[in-house]
Amino acid sequence: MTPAGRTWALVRLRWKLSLRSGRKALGVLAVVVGALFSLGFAVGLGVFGYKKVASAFLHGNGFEDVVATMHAAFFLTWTFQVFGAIMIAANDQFLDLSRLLHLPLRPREIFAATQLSGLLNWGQLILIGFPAGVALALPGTPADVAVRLGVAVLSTIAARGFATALASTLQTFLGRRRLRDVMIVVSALFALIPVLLRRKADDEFRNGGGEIAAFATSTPLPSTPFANLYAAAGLDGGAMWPSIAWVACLMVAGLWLSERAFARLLRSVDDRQAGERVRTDGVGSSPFPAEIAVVAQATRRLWWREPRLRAILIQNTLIFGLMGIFGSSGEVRHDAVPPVWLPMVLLFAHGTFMTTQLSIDGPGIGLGFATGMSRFRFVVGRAWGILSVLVPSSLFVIGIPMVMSVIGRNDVPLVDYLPIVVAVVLMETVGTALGAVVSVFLPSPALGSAKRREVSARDGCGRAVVYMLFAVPAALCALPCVLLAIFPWMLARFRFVDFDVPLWWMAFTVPAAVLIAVVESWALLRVAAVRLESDEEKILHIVSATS
Amino acid sequence: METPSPAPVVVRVEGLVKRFDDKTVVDGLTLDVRAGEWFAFLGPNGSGKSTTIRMMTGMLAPTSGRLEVLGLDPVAHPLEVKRRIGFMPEEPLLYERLTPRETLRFVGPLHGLSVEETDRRAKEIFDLLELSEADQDRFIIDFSMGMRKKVSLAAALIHGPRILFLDEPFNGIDAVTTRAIKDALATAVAKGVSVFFSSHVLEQAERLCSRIAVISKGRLQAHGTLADVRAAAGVAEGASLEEAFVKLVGGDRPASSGGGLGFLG
Repeated sequence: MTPAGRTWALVRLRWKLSLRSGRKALGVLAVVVGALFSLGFAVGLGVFGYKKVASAFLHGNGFEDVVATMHAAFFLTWTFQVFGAIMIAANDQFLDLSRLLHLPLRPREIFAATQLSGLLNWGQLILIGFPAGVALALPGTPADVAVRLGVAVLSTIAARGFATALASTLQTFLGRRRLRDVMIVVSALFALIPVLLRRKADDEFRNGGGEIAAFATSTPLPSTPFANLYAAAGLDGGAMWPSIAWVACLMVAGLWLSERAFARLLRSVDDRQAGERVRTDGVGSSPFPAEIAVVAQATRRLWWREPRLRAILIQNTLIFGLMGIFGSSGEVRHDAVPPVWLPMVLLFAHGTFMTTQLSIDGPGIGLGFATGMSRFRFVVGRAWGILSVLVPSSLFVIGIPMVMSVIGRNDVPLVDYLPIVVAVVLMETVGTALGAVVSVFLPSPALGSAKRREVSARDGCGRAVVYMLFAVPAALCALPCVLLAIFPWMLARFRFVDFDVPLWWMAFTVPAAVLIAVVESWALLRVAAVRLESDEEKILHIVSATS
Repeated sequence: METPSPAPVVVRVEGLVKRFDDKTVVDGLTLDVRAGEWFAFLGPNGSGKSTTIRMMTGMLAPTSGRLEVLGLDPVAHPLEVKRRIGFMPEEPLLYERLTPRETLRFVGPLHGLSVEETDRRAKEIFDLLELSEADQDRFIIDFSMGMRKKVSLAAALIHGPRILFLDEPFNGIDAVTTRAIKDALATAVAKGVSVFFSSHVLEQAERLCSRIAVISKGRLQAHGTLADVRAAAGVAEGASLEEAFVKLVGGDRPASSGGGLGFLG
């Protein structure tokens, strides 16, 4: 078989595995939902891009706004490529490279197959949507439009190259014990770049689109050449061909870098040692009965010992902490505390772990079941263990602005933070209880074994994403029960700063919210426990079959 | 009477060392495997067996030492080595949403076989391993460990390798599956294939293997026939392999006097 034939065999394998990512009827549904979701997203972004540019021309400030829009489009494309590459690597069984190591395949063949097969997936469709919409809106001949559409595809390939290089390097580092945690901290800092850019863009928007264009064109972002090329293709035909040459160079460089990083990752797959040290201290004090405390402690320990869980925890802490720092620089209440988007951030940040509570520890679940303890207590123990690590990591978002208030860096009274703290804790409590229900009704196989945890992907493509599709809408339906009691006060204090609300209102709403959240969580955990009891064998088989 | 000349050496290992960071996992290993023999590579958990096999199969580069598989250096010629050998990992590395038949149709052509030839060989192998027609078309995700091991062995055999490297092939499977796998391997050995398998199940090694190597903490403790291993351990001629093994890896201690587990009453 020729190298091209081997590459093609791998490409077909990946597509086959992708189409079989779910099982039976649910699998077909997942593929259909994924396709519709992606198509809708791509069309939506395309229409958004089209309208944005068309509207810019309508209002006579064409060039600056087009450049600004294109920078936004391409920068998002690149950012999502990197995150997508890492996310997909964790969920795509094809990318579990240890399954290919013993076969007579050159690294280059595996790399080519990875890139080729990755070009034709829903994620790429979404990413091409935005620039394609802009391509159609910009003025020019049909040939110009064709060139712009070609650039959209080329830019995706180049972005994939750089993103794969970065993702492969990150994965190589994740495989090395000493570099792992350092890398996690660094990547968390990188994750904040979009937040910084958004703040910068906010500032610039106040000064008009020209400032944004100047900022964007002078910033050495990897997306800059693509954005400039788009503007050139639409508005200045003379600059188009040099830009195309530049884009082609970038694409080649991206693929070259990517292949080298990928080859390094392949070499490192087996070059690892786990070697986690076991602590044997007692369970300490706990408000719960001993057996619940033991389950909770085992869950907490897992978060620190399992590198991927620890990575999420460290990232959460850093991201929420730094968000807190940004928030604390505001001088008014609605700058200091981000009430509207906080629920969404919390939900998305923790959603996967809320909904895969059983599958993060298949063997541990088996051990728990074997003890014969009440299933309700078991579920409560798991939920408490997860909450006790998630809540402290999230509270930094509000803790830092509170410290800033104390030392006089903003003028928000401390008492104003109280409902936000309560809201964060309650949202996570209800979310975790809801996660228990989802993880019991839709159990997911264990995330990976101790031996191959960095590259292991035991359950085909994107199952976690499909789970999120269930979890997020469900959570969004459940949360208003809690928020209903809090939001009037929060909105009054933070959105309408001149509207004076008496403190007695908080004295009523906060306890009411706590009560509602506790009852709601208790009911959800009960539902999970009952289902766990009736379907234990099947659930245990799924969560621990591959661990 | 002329003594038959020994079979040619197919695997030669000299002074092999593998270090991970500051930890030496394989420390100066020297051994050889001959054509058409059952070779058992024994050692307690964590003794360096899997690491050694990964180096022999071209998946992991040694820190130092010399390694030769079928006359080729697995570091310099990994592809050529992988085309001539079969490897069955301890934990079957299979795509769970392929069927056994599809798995072989993926692996066979990568080794240069046509689909028709792959199908013909697959039928023979599955028959030998007692994998039913119905099971051949089920997704692997629904398989038990024993069935997964059968598929993994079939994938290792499909291209007609000259050496089979098996990492703990009998671990975690029932007696019926063990027998099916053992029979398939015996058939391969009868046709001149060398079988190199790591294990800590001593009974299989004692019964099947012509030669044995015992490794502990990365170092070779004994190498040769059962008699050679007994001699290296300093146990009596009729002693079992278990006795010799325990003595070699430093696990021998005075028999329990019945103390301990006092809570059982």
